[in-house]
Amino acid sequence: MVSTENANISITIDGKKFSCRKDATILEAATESGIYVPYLCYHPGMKPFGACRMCVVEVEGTRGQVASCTIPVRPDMVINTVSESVEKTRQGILELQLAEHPQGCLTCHRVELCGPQDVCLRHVSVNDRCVTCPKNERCELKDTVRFHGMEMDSPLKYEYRDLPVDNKDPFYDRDYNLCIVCGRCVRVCDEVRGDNAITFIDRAGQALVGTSQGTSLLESGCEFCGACLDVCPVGALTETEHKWDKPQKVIRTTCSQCPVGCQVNLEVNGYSKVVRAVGELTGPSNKGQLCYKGKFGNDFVNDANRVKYPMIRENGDLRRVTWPVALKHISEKLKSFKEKKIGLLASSSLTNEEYYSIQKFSRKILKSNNVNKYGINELNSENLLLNSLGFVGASNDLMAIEKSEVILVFNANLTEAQNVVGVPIKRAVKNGAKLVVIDPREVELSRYSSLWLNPTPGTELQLLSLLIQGLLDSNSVELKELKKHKGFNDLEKSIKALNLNDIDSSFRMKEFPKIGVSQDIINDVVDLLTSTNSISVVYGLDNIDSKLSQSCVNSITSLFVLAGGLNQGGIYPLLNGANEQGASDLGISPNFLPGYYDVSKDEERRYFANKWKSELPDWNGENFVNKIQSGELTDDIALLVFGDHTDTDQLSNKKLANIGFLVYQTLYCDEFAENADVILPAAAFTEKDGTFTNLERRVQQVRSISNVINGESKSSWEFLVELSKVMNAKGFEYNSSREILTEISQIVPIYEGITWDTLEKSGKTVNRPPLDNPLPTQVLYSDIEYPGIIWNLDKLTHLEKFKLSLIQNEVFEYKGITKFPYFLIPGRVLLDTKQDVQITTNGINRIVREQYFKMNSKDAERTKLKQNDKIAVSFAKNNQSSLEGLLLIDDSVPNGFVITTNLFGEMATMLDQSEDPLIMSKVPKLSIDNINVNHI
Amino acid sequence: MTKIYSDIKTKASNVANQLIAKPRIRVSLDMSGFASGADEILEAFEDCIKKYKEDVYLTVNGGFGMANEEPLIDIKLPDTGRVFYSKVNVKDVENIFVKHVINRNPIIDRALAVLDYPELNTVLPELYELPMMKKQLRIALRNAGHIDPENIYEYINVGGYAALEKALSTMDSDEVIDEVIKSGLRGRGGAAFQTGVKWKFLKGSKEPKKFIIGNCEEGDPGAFNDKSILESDPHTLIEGMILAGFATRASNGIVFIRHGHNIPIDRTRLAIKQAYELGFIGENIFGSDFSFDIEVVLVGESYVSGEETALMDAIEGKRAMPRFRPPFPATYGVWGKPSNINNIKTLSYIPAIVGNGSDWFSNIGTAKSTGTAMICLSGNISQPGLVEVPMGLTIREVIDDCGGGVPGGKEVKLLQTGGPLGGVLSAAQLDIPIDFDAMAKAGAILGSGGIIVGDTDVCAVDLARLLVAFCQYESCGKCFPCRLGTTHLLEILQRICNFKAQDKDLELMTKIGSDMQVGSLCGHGQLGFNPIKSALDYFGDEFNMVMKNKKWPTTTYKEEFFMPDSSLRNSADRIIK
Repeated sequence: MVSTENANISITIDGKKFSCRKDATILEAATESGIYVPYLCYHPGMKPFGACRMCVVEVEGTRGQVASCTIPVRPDMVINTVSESVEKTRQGILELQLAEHPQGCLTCHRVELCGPQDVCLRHVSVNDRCVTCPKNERCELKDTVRFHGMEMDSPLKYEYRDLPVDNKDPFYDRDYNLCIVCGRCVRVCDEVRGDNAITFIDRAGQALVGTSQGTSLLESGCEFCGACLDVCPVGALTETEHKWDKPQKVIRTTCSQCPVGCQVNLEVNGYSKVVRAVGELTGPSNKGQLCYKGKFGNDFVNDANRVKYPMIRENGDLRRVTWPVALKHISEKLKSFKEKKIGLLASSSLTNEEYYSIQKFSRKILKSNNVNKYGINELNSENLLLNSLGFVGASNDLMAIEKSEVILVFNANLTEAQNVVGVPIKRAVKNGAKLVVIDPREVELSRYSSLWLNPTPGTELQLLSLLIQGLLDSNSVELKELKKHKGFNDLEKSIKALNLNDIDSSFRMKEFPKIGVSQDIINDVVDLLTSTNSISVVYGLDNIDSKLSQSCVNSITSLFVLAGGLNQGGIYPLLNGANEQGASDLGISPNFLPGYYDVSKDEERRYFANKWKSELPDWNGENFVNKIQSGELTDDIALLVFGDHTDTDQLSNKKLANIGFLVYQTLYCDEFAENADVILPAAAFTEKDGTFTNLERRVQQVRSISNVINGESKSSWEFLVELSKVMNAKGFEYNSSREILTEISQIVPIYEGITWDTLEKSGKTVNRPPLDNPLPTQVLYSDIEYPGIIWNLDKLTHLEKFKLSLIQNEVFEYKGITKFPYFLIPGRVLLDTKQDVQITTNGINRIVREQYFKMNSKDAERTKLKQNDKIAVSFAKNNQSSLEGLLLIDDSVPNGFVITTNLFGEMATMLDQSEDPLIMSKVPKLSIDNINVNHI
Repeated sequence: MTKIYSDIKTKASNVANQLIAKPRIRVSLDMSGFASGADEILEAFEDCIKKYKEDVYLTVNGGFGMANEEPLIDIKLPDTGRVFYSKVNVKDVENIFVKHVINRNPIIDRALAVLDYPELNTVLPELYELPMMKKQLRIALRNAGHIDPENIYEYINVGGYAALEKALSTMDSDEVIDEVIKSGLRGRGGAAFQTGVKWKFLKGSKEPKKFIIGNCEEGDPGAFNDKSILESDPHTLIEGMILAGFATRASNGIVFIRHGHNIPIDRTRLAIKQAYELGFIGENIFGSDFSFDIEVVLVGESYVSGEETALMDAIEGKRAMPRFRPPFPATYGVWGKPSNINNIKTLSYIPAIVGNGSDWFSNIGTAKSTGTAMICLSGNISQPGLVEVPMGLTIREVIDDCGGGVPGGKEVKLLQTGGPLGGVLSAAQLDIPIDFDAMAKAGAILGSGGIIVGDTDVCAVDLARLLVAFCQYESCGKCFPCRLGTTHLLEILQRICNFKAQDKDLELMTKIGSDMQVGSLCGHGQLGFNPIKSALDYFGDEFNMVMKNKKWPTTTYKEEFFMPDSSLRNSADRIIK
């Protein structure tokens, strides 16, 4: 990545003068200048390691040869990457390496000619052939060997390691017969991911990679992010699914699993199936990283059971129809419903273009403001953020978290739900940042935290109030500035009115007081927050009751501002759907038009009415998700649901059958589809062009893999264009999603200037030799960097408009039901050092261990349970006993709660083994549930 | 003299005066003493004291380096000198105790030597006149064998911490560095870099947290001098380390020892504790603005962790693998802070240099290699052990005079110096002086100071294989040339030794060796070919004989006696796994 502002050093490589950035190493400078220096252990984005010694070069004035990956450039350095002695060293080392890597084909002159079925006339064994290697043609060792023109005959003795392939762990196989011990996987796991699940084992000639105790990955703390696979230069680490599939095409797109907006390269085979996902190194919010969902969870688009054609329910049975028949049916049916009774629900991972057309269709044609999104969205009301922060979205970009000195994570299990957000957090912690986790559950980040505050569920708001009070008492510099803010006095008054000193904040051992976090710890957090301005606040609202969510968001933003975070830090609301941000931005809301224009304000509504040349409804719409959940479903209601792979669990209700008319566009016939009158095939994210807006407000491209799509699937905007034609409605003459984006960029102020062309043009060529360059390409794919465009906060509102809200002293009382008097606080971590874990292997590794449940002695006494009793936990939601384990009496557990922590590895096996193609969108959330505990 | 120090000094002499009226028994309990059962001797003396209810001052000490004479004890009665008894058996203890301590009659025909005992000088030799001691000049080991290493006051009584007091009260840190530079002291760890210059690099850094690391990894077979210092006089190291810290304005000291060497570890830890108690380490030492902390860090069994960058990783709790340089430790060391790594021997010279002045030190030894060399003698030698001789003595003098020559009337055939990576020398090199430059010129290194003597029964091919096996086994596995090169070298040597040599094996080894030397990340791989190269240089005909005639050049060759097979590719245990 040659950046112009740093390009102020002149160096000479192989007799040619180049200008390069001054913080580059020789290897980086050479690669960026288009000169290929072979390497095996170096990888962009990681610290140099200096192990493979393939990159040795000569530097004038320096004795001998130096490893170019470790030496920084100096002004006027003269470097020779090609010389006889350098070549000799590289070949000598490569020859040593080939004596332990299967090389039958690597050095063969027929290497270009043989196919996998060809009989080898040289009698090279199957193990030693490249054509049977899953990484064939993606192998960096092969590139390097070809570059050096290695001889077929070597005086060294070749030995195959003959190790069994580790294929019992979920998601990926490890064949250490192919490992060259470059250490990239170990380093990416340590340096980049902060997990340290794998390490070097043994030494000398036996040095290899493995887990530190020789255990399975399930117990070693692996989060199955697959980062090691993406950096492996050889075939040692490969995905289990589609292991041998060769990509015919690669598409750079945005991952659809969560709102981080990871850039991913999807490899597509000759049958237009997505076979592999490789994180894109230049991705602005992921820098090459993916997670278990994004890396291994894309197979749903290939599934044979997808809905392929429209269907209409007649007499309870679904009948295949053509699109025109379906559209006609829909348009006629819709006429009989009143506009206030028509609702539109969009999943939270559709494209911006689809959202825009959905809400425009609803408002302009159906004259209904009943448009909303569904998914698992605790933060789903735009009001929460608009009321407190003044805008919707994160205030800074995600990678800025890495530079923070204090990070506060509130009620979010982000390493599972928005995994890649955890990467900058873990890296920051590694660099000495302090992490404060506020969560009653033990989640993965609790292990990384300096302080883990686990308040009694329901008292989170009071805990925040105590922190705010601490900040107000601290007399920090920021406060003096903030005192000018008009809301400050009210805030101060409201805090004083709470009389927080009454809240029993001493240790909960004393009759289980309310909050259960000691004043000392609260003071420690306040000290941390006042020690620096570089503060990132990352929050979710898992398990916060919806009645408290506005107050909670108010308090979090107030805390963030009082701590001085506005200047250097960032506040990050953790959304759930891949494009939830875009849905809010583009008016998938009963109350807001695109760009957060209020439907009830005449002036703002008129703006869109003029642009769309149509009168728009002025009433605030209804949230149909709430309506479904509360079961207010009657036969005068029509519902259009635009779905994809998003979980519809939130919409399940037995009374759905009462609904008048239900149209469901979806990828799969799930439970929700059982009540649909019309089922339409939806296009998956790999089958449509469009844009996603991630949680840092960055608009990024989603690209279709080919023209071949699943059956008669249509994206939602196409469906609506067709439908409006049938309905004779105007204003929907779109031919492509690009036209819709252009319209958005012209009408919606915050998206001004964001068109497909500007997104495309903002891409710039990065560190890879051009495609016509005959040199080996070591880094796959990273040739163009597409930074996306972050919509500007100034367009919407200014940070000064942020409101210091009054602080409420509300507590949500968890109340048991008669049969289910307790609440289970679940936790999930990668590693549990306190407990022994056993692995049973029957084809696949599984964790077998005793589950422990903790409750306090009073509750145990009440339920007549003793320490180490075997208990069964039954859940109110499905009335089944699904968990068994041993009881531990622990008086730090609040009254009425039972705490348990399980391992991510258990879930990883479940995800890997599940037959459900949509399993990744149904990853069990750690929600607090009504339970009962019985002795068995 | 600061009042703090003079108070401590007074207290130390008071402690000594109270004990002077008692008989004193010293049992030399260091590694070689322990190996020959000195701990049992110590117990036996304790039993005697209980049994006879005598008021005796019984202490341990480090030895004089005469490994053959262990267990060595000495008894000093009030008003007499010290009488040394060597090779003491548990059964002898009571006899010696009764005769010498209770009846006050030294057992002349049982004794080895005396010290400061004019009355017996006619019948017994003076300790320093013994052949092994005669040519020695003990600076770093000046207190070894004399003081109780577990008692800080004994160290203070022989002038300990005076140099520190002098530096803190009369010198500034630049002056200390200048003094060390003028003394010509060079690092004893192997690279022989100017110690004062190295300190200057660290001094230049303005970071508040800086580390001085004393390296006692000492994994070379046949090297035990660092541990001997810690066993017999840990305070010398600690004082040296504090002085180094003062000179470079460092904040922390770390003594880095391989785990399992319990005597040096325990004594160093105790010494650090005592030094803290008296305020030699800690906040504002002697009331100055200089504060310094020292701790002991242990490491697992890894030869490479003695390499300075691998050592820093090991301190951080990581797998000991060398880092690339630059950045050098002086800018990016342990925990990313500027660090300076010195050998224990190097640091142990510092109190003497600061106390006596640089001129005194630079007059010892040769012009470019000042001071003394601490040599560990082992192998086919009559008197193995540790000697400290002035630089410039020839190897022959050390072997013949201090070491008593080769036993059994045999000749010296080869020498293995400076650790396994140092390679071998032939008998023709016996007359080169012990001096960094002269040894380097002859293709050997003084290194850690070990000299292993081989007599005419030793086969150079077999020895080369043994040394390469060590290098291979201890390779950390990080960089490709070393990990793979040492493995292949050993495989080739194995087949040579199994009389299955192939025609071009010598060329092949040389090619691998040169790639290792050019390409390796750290010294382990860069020097990994040295054993074969030097053996080929001096004993090429033996290789010829084994490879071509399929015969062993010496008659005494036995089947492989040491071969760490488990580190080879495809060794048995891996396939089973």
